[in-house]
Amino acid sequence: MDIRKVKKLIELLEQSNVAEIEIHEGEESVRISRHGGATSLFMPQAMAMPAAAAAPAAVASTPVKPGDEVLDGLAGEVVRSPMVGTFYRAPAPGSGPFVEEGQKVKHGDTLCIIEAMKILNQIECEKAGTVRRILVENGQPVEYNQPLFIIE
Amino acid sequence: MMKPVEPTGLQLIRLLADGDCHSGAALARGLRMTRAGVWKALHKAVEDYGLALESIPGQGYRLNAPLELLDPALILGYLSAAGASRLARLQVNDLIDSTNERLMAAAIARAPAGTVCLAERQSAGRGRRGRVWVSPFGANLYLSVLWRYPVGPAGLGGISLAAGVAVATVLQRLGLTDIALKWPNDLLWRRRKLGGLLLEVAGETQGPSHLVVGLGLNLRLDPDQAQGIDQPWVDLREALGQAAPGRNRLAAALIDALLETLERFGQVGLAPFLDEWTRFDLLRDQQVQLQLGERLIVGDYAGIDPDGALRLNTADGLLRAHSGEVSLRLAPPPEAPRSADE
Repeated sequence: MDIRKVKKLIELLEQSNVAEIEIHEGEESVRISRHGGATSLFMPQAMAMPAAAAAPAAVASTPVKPGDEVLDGLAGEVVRSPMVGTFYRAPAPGSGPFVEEGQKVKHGDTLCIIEAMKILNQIECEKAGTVRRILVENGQPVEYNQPLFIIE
Repeated sequence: MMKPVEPTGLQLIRLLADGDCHSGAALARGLRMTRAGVWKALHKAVEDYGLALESIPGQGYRLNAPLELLDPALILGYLSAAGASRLARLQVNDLIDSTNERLMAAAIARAPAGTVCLAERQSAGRGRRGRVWVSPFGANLYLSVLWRYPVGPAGLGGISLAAGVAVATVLQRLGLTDIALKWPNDLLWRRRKLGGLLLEVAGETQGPSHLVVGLGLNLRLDPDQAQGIDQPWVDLREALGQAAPGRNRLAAALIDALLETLERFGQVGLAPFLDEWTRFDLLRDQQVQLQLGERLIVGDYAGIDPDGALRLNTADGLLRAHSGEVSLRLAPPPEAPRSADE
């Protein structure tokens, strides 16, 4: 990109309500921002990717009965489905599951994905602990509020 | 003091984007580098971006097809005033993993509603359930839009359908007849896949939440690039012919429509989009099958619910599905005569 193009972008930005334009090309990028007048800054493109879960692929053999009857006699925090959809334990078929039974989890860890109408909802852990039980099998439909995990 | 930041390879591709033959000497002069430097940078760029370059002995280099590269200035220029007021941030990338992934990460870093991400190429473009979205350089559109809502994810399911309506309407206005939506939002032209939407959401059960709408639209896809696609497909070049718009104009129209839809959904929900969705409904009056987990369910398609759920009359009664993959069963041949295509 040459200087004339950057100038043109700054002019366009000033005429519109757009607050910021970012262009990433190869190792470098330019950001033109309107906050406090037109300014620019250069920054490296080193946006760290979240580390992929390195857990080995495994299949849970938990018997599943939807509904709260599965909770009988089990202690711990119940993670419930926030929506109707399909339960997925892994980001993609063939990749390792987000969590296994017995695994320690902390706040913000992804536990599973619920998909409804092609919207993927990553369910995150809200309370640190150990995954005691995984109550639904991969690929199964789940109801609103259905128990998914027990975390202790 | 600002200085050019563009890598040499991309500058060379920009010079070659017109599809004409350029001599190594002229390219070297233009960029003030040696011919050997041009050769090296060009071959690296072609490899990085997956482009086809012809070397014509004694004449120079030529791309096998002209490219219209993404240009933020053009996109801003084509945006409507309302679109420009909704657009908060525009990110244009030459090569990234996935526009959806970038915006989900940006959302956590507090990017505002109205942040838009475009890429010339995706190295890990995502389709449904981990399928790869074929994403070659400079030829198609890979576009994601971030919006924020005060409600939890459970209240946002209908956006999947509303976003499909937004894209289908843009294409129809460009003159694309026979555009249809397959529940919830696959874009098909004469039953061939033209594009798809994949949405991602995260948030608290009681809200707030943020949502990313990702669109992949085939503009120009070569058969050898499309080998990984497991269903009949089409690109806009074929569907619209000479009327196909440039990438930047189309990107602006789609950004306009998606931003408007995302804002409007937050105010009024799915209801006003349902009639429009039904106009594009591919499955109307068809017998279909629904893959739901391990189960395959056959039934007569019975439209959609006010919340966007699929309705299916089965032997066991009415089924309402919020997920699963639906397909036409024993599809009859398309009604439009093939010979009338061009």
